Amino acid sequence: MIKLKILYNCLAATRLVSKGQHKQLNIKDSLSLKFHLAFCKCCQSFQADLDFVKENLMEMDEHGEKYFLNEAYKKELQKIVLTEINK
Amino acid sequence: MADNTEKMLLNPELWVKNYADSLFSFALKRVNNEEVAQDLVQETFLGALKSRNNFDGKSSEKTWLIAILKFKIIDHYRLKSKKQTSSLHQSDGEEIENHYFEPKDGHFIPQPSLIQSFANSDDELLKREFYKTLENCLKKLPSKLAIVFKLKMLLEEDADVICETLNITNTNYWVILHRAKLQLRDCMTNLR
Repeated sequence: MIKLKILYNCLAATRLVSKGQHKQLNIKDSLSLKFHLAFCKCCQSFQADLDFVKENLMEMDEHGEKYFLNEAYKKELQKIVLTEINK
Repeated sequence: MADNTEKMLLNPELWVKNYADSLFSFALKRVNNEEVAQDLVQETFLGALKSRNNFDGKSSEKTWLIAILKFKIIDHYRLKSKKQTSSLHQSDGEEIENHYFEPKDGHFIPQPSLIQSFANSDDELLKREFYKTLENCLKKLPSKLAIVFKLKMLLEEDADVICETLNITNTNYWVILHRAKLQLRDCMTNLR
């Protein structure tokens, strides 16, 4: 039997939320987090926001700002690449 | 023979024209410094040319170049953290926790929700604004927090590799990553 300590502390709970985005929590942590989240609106909202950010981060390169190298630099770079190809 | 198939798959003469800008964008969002990003693009092309015999043709040319760029960015951070005299500490970014939670019992001090302000993200304009805010807030993260966040969230590196790269403990890694997320969320809700 796992003895569960009730998790009241939101800082500790959000640390678990944060970790849970990247790895499977152990059963004890996962249960106490579930219990905490059931009663805590702030941590629920925190979790929703983190998941939202993580999901959208994956498309950052596709949909985010685009930056461009200046043409002079690209010309120089092309020369370097061609020299290397012909080595 | 082998040489022939290779040339059909890789066209290094066109790399600069086709990929230099995308690689530059990718790098700049992760290193936050134009000069460094430019150098990384050059190193990527040269590195790719050296190892072009290893290209197996299973992924696209661009995917392959991005994978090489990722290695270069991680190397950049490895070197940088070696040069830095002060490494990451348990106390880095601690203030954010006190800003978010009651110090005595760790209770949340209520914050506005981020997801609500960007809900309806099908909206193209809102999406653009989301990414603008995100990039601005990434720039505002204290550099030590930003490095850990970027290695994990933008370069999808393993925790073990990040700890080794930055010479930090596993416990410290989770604490720092969490603080980066707290701070990012805080910044993004406030910029809205």
